[in-house]
Amino acid sequence: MKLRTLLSYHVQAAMNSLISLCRQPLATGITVVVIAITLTLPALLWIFTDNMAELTSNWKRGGHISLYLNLNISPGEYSVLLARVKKTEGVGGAILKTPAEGILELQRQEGMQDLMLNLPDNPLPAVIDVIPAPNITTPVQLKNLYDRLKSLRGIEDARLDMQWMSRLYALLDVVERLTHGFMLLLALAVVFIICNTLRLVIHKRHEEVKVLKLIGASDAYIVRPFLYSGLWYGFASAILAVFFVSIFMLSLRFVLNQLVEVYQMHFKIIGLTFVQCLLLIMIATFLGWLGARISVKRQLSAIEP
Amino acid sequence: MIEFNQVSQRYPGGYETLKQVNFSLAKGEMAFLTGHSGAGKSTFLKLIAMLQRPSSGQIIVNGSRLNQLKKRDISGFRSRLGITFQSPQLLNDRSVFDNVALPLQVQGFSPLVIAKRVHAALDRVGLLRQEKMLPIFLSGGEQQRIGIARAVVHKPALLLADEPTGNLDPALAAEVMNLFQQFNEAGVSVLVATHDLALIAGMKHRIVMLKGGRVC
Repeated sequence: MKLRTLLSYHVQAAMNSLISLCRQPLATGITVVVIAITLTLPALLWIFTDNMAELTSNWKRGGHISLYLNLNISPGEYSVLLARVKKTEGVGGAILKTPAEGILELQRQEGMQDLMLNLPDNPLPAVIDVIPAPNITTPVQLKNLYDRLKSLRGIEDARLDMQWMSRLYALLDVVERLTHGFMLLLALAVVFIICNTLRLVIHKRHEEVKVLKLIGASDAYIVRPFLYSGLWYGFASAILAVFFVSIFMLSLRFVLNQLVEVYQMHFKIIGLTFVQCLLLIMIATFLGWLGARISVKRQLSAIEP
Repeated sequence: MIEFNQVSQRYPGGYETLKQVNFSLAKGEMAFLTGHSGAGKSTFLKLIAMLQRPSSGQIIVNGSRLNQLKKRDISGFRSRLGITFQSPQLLNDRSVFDNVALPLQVQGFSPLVIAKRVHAALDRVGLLRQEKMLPIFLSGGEQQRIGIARAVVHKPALLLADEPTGNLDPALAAEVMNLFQQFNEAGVSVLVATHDLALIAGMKHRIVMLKGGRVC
């Protein structure tokens, strides 16, 4: 088939399906709104996981490691050790806390003074507080850094509060899996809504299909306008969904920002990015086409003149 | 143009509408297919248009062996035929023009060619002035003629008509038959199924009689 003929077929089918959708604004509108709501949910979940990822990347910076120095290391060697720690790969910064500083800090805490007075001499070791470099982001990397530091000579013990981090990650993992599951289910819902809508449309246009088959229209020709209908449904719904999401995020942003402020987090809520909007529209359009295809293929072969 | 070779059509339940029928229609010929209702006239035409497949036997239409045609080839085969029915099967949400234009749109003609040919076809059946109307607002005879215009607009080599005058009064029926004759004179092979013997008796064309599933 010539390319120009094929192109004119497509333009014709796209325009005809669009016109017939616009001829029934109420029915089309209701379907589009239903699909748009179905699309809004996964879009919001998407935003939710994105924000969680952003938020936790802020929290990760809190993974400090405390290194307890050997008690028999003399104060003169502290700075040598500190320099060695600072040179270790993956260390962003390190602060030395001598035993004297440690005891002062303890004494400042309420109720500790009496306890301190009873001690014969300072039992505290010197501590190096290590802040991981910015490129240390995953628990595995942090654990590796921890192991490296712990094996340094002169280090008696090291502490890393890994547990809360691994718990958080496990939780985030669950949330992400759930989100993906929901997205899949809702995508399926979109396909089936369009499937059912087009089933009714074809039922209504039974006569037309019959006549077209009678005059020798190919299956591809008959199917095309229905596929375009699915495509239009997906496209229009996605645009409406983007609109819904934007309104939702705008109304939520103020409240959320307040929440973030209360927790003193430096965190800005992100809505749908341009790329995400584009992706949403593309995916929805594809789902519309898919739903139409599933529905139409089977039904059309059942109609015989 | 058409060749039937020992064609039989049996329906589930054992009822046989056609029994080992042999028939041929030459290129450019016009013939009438007649017989009582239930004699198998419609089945005969449906087999030619591949709306049904025969239980046995071979049919060749326009050079195509029908039992060798694949499912996806049927549409292409049908698009080279012109078919009209007793009920003209028009789309009532489209204008007369759009109805007649369908076969051309399906074959991907440009709008300019479509307009030219549709106007020519409508002119032939005398309905050029009604082109913008919806078919439901036209009379039975006019609707029948729209159906005929749609059947010939793409210049098929073979025109099949199933009881085209069934719903028409004698004067209109004669007019429609006259149309078929004109198309035949222009070189189109025509096969008309009708039970209106009085109407066709006066026309000098072969009459094929179906009786009890056989040609006599």
